[in-house]
Amino acid sequence: MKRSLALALFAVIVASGAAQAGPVGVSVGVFGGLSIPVLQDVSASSFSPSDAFGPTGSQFGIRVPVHAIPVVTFEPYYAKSKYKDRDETIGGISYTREGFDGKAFGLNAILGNPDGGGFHFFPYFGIGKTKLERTAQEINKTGFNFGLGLGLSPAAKVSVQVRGEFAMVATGDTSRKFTNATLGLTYSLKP
Amino acid sequence: MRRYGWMILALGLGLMTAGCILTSGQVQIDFNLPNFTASSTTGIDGTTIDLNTESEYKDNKEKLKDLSDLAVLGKFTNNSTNAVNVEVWMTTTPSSHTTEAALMADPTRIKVWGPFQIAPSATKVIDWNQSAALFSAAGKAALLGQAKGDGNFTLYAVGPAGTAYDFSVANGALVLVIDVGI
Repeated sequence: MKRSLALALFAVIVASGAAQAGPVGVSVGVFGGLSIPVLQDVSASSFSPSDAFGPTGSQFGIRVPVHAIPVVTFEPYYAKSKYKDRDETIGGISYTREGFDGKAFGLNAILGNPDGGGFHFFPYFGIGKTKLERTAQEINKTGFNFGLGLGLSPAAKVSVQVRGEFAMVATGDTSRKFTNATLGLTYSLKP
Repeated sequence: MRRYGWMILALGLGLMTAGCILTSGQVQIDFNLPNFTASSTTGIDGTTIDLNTESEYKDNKEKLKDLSDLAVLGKFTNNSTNAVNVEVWMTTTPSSHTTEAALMADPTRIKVWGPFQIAPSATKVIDWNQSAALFSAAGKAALLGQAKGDGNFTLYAVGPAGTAYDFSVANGALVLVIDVGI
């Protein structure tokens, strides 16, 4: 209930910002990179700090940044991810546990315009729906992410972005967490 | 600066929504099981597990929120010339039944896992993914109840009721991945 209320308030705040609408800028972009599980399925008996990060997975997707109001760009996104299998020896026998396949869609709110000219940083955060699946386990819950991007525009209407973000999928009172590092290419459709 | 105000408020709300779920993780705990046999003629062996004997569990028990993943692992050998479907049952209070009939008469029994089929006179190491899929909903709930409760229960491996079977399990382990708040 508390979470729903907070999400509703968030939506109201976002909507109130839209009231200051101006010229609309629309772009489309693709991205891909690395996604690393954080503090997932760690063995407490032999834990070392490096075990906090699981086997590196991959992520790719599409984004459609829409710059309709000052200060903020809203960016719907869709992403797919694939995480590596994990090998482990238990009782003297080697076993493999399948890694998750992930799908996510949602909306990022970016401070500034990620497609702007020159060289610039932009913080962002987002809310969406994330589905993680592997044999005998499915997580389909609300996801959150926040991060920092670096953008540069090598040519008119084209921008290149590097983003580092922290993402998590809420699972009741706990969450599955990931760090992502992606490289993206965006083309400005309008104006 | 005022124009940034609503953005900062929204970010704060987003983080508040995330709240304590940020400080959590999934911890894997392995419980090694002794080698045991099960036979419809000579009887069955039970393995009483006290989760509290594992320091990883004891250290995280108060922070345990859910069971994220679980598996029964090991090398299963069918000593019979008939195929067998192995099932794992649990009694929620520690017990020492030596026959399948006595186990089935125990009111605290719950089928946790299976069936896992082994061909006649074959030895098979179970795949982790296959094992994870063999847990029943009731079995998962019972194990979660034990993990959140006193953590003391007994596991039995048996064949289907009314059939002849003879199998053994070596290098067995019960693997629990628990969701914990940190």
